[in-house]
Amino acid sequence: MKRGAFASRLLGGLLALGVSLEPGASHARPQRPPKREAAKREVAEEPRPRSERRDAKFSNDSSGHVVFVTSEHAYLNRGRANGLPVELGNTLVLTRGKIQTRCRVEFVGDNTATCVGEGVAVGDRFDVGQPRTQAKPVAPPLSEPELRRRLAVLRSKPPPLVNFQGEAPNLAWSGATAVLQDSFWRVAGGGAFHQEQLQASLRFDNLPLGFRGLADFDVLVWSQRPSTSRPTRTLASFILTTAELRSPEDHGFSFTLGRTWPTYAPGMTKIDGVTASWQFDDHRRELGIFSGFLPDPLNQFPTTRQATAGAYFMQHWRGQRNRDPMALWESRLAWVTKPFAPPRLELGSGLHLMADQSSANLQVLGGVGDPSGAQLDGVWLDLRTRLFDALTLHGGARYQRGYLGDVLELGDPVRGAHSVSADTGVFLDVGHLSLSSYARAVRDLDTSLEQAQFGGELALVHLFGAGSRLGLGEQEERGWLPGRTAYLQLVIHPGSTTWVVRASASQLRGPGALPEVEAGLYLSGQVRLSDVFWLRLTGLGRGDVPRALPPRPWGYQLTASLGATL
Amino acid sequence: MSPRWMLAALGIAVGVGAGAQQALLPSRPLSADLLGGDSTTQCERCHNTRSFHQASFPHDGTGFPLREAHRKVACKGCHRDDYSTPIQRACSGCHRDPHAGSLGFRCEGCHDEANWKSRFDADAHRGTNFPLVGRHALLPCQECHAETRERRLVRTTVSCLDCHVADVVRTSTSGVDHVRLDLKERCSTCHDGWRWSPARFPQHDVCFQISAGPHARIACRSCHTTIPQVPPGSCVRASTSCTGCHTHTCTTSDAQHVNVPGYVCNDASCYSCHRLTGQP
Repeated sequence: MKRGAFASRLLGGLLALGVSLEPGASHARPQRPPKREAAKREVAEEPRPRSERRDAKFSNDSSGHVVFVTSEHAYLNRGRANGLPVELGNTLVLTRGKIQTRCRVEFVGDNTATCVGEGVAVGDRFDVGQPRTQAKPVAPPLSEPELRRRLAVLRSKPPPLVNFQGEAPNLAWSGATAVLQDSFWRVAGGGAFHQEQLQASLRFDNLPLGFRGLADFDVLVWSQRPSTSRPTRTLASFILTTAELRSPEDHGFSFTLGRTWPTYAPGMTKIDGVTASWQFDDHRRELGIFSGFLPDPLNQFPTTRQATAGAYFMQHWRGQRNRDPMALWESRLAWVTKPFAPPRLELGSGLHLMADQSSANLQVLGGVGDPSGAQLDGVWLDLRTRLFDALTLHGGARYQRGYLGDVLELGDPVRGAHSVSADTGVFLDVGHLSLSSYARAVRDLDTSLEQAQFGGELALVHLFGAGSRLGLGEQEERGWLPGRTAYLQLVIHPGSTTWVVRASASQLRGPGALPEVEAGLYLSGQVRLSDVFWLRLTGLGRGDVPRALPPRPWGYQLTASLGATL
Repeated sequence: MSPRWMLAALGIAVGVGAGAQQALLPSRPLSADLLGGDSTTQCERCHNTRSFHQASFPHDGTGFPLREAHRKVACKGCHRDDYSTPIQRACSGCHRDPHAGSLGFRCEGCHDEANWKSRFDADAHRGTNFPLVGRHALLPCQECHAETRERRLVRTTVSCLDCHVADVVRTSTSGVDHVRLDLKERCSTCHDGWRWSPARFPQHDVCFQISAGPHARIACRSCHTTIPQVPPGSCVRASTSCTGCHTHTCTTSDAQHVNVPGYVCNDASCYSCHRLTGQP
């Protein structure tokens, strides 16, 4: 390892020796940069293609390998005459060490073939049978003099250049996603919820005059709710999440109009208004101003009850290559009015650092103008590093103040939260074995309620196909709701499907209370129906483990989601 | 003529491209000088011979492989400025945070690339400061997290009473008036997360066993004519009535307790012997 790279990773590792918590997001393991990615980067940067090295290493005829990969196709060095045991449309199993991927054959030649699949890398191998026919000899490559002669001919009469202007501006959408979802909840002895939801997003990247557009919306319909449910909800709602029109950059200037959302404005939310921005220094700096009204927090209807106006600034330090360290600093200064509090001047600032496999994110929000004067709204710190291929560390810490929310939700004694929390975790991957452990703690400063969890997971990865994971985990819980949870989870990806099965058991051991044990079973299957559509079915059942007091309660939730990405 | 056009023209000339020409692929890359200068550009990695417009970039080499929904995003969707300027590989490089920063920067903890719908469920909620137990785990998220604009999903850790104060008040018309008896804290001592009734009362077994045995699952008011406020550690007998259920005449009882010293035919005396505390 080069000294610079080692120093960079060591620095990242030291940075990661912190602690934090994000209630909600931190439960899952961080996404590790896949080895596949590193392998492909290696392929792209190596002076000598891996395929050549593998050719030299493997010369037997019983297997072939992938010689070249584009964004669409993988090119194979075996064909019909070499015993490739598949026909068009069939699936070829490719292996890379212990990892298996699948590739759908789309063309078979005498000595070559192409296939389409995800995660295919140069050097992936596949088995072939005995040649069925006499192999047609591959035409030898043209000699250097012949190529030079042909080049000379071409140069002597160059073909006219094609005037490539790209796609003409139009009003058609460039991309769209939609998810139609039906969810049903039922608890024995209680009522049932039935909800239909449509979420859609449309992007327009090629509008006339260089404009771009974006529209997101969410339609929610409750077709069934228990009469005792709280709080009372609107039975149908249409929520326009985003609807903005962005002008083309003219000398670095652009403006955005509509229900917009400045990108580099920490703590900022969407506004019905306008944003103007200037980019300069090769897009390394951006200065913007914005003004508008904040939508209603519950239904996002336009309202004038809350308004904001301010400015933001972004500075981006980066190298020329993607692997170079980069840093991004963003800040927002804004005047904000709120219905439940006096106007205040808010300041938000975020710093994001990334070097090799390490990252650090820090965000600070605060304001001036409350009767109490200056107030710190929150500090968030997240650190993550991958010290070497097998070991990943993450951690973070955060402090949040109660000013954050506008909505006094059910049960909240105050708006928002006033808490301090921390979490840390480590992941170790060795071959088929993956070990992880974590610890989290949070203290609510308003209610003095505390809760902490620590636990670990032992998992077998890639044992049932590429991307599969069989994990056994246990979590101890301490605090105002003490207990423990154990689970067994299996994730497999046969073909273009994803299946998740999880069985869990939780015990609640409140002070002075009798032990309570719940068992749960979660099933989820996602199938890619075509290149456009996918379907996900999810079921969750939970029940009280049989004990002295009947009736023994249970409940379930079913969700069907049909999605499309265009 | 630029090198890429030279390569394209040469490719056409020698039949490089789709399908049947596979066998004619040269086994080694064309040298740079052959293409008339510096030619590190491999046109075929992005373009194909069906249409030059169908360009697609092998994004894996950038350290951000395009998977699932990212495969469908137009290049301009992320690369607002140009295609050579590196952008952040973190989610925040392209995605605006709908949680306004309140949940940190590890988006992948709840979201994946297949679709942006969160996979955060009741089991995951057990890792927060409010573990979902019983019926709480089978509620739509919106029942508690009502805000849709910023979706901060961060709220104060609440005790049972903060949400269920109406249920406590409602007990004034039921058998056990929780307000009068000052039973407003530590609900989990008697109630579980699934239901209010039937409830447990583990302290009652010290005086008279009701968690098991013949008197389990009997409503409080079946035995108690009134439910007094009982000091911790003490037993109150005045409010109970055994004969409400155990109907027999004193004549019959007297005959059955001939050899019992101190026997008197009334409720309090029954209890003094028939405690059923679970103790031998």
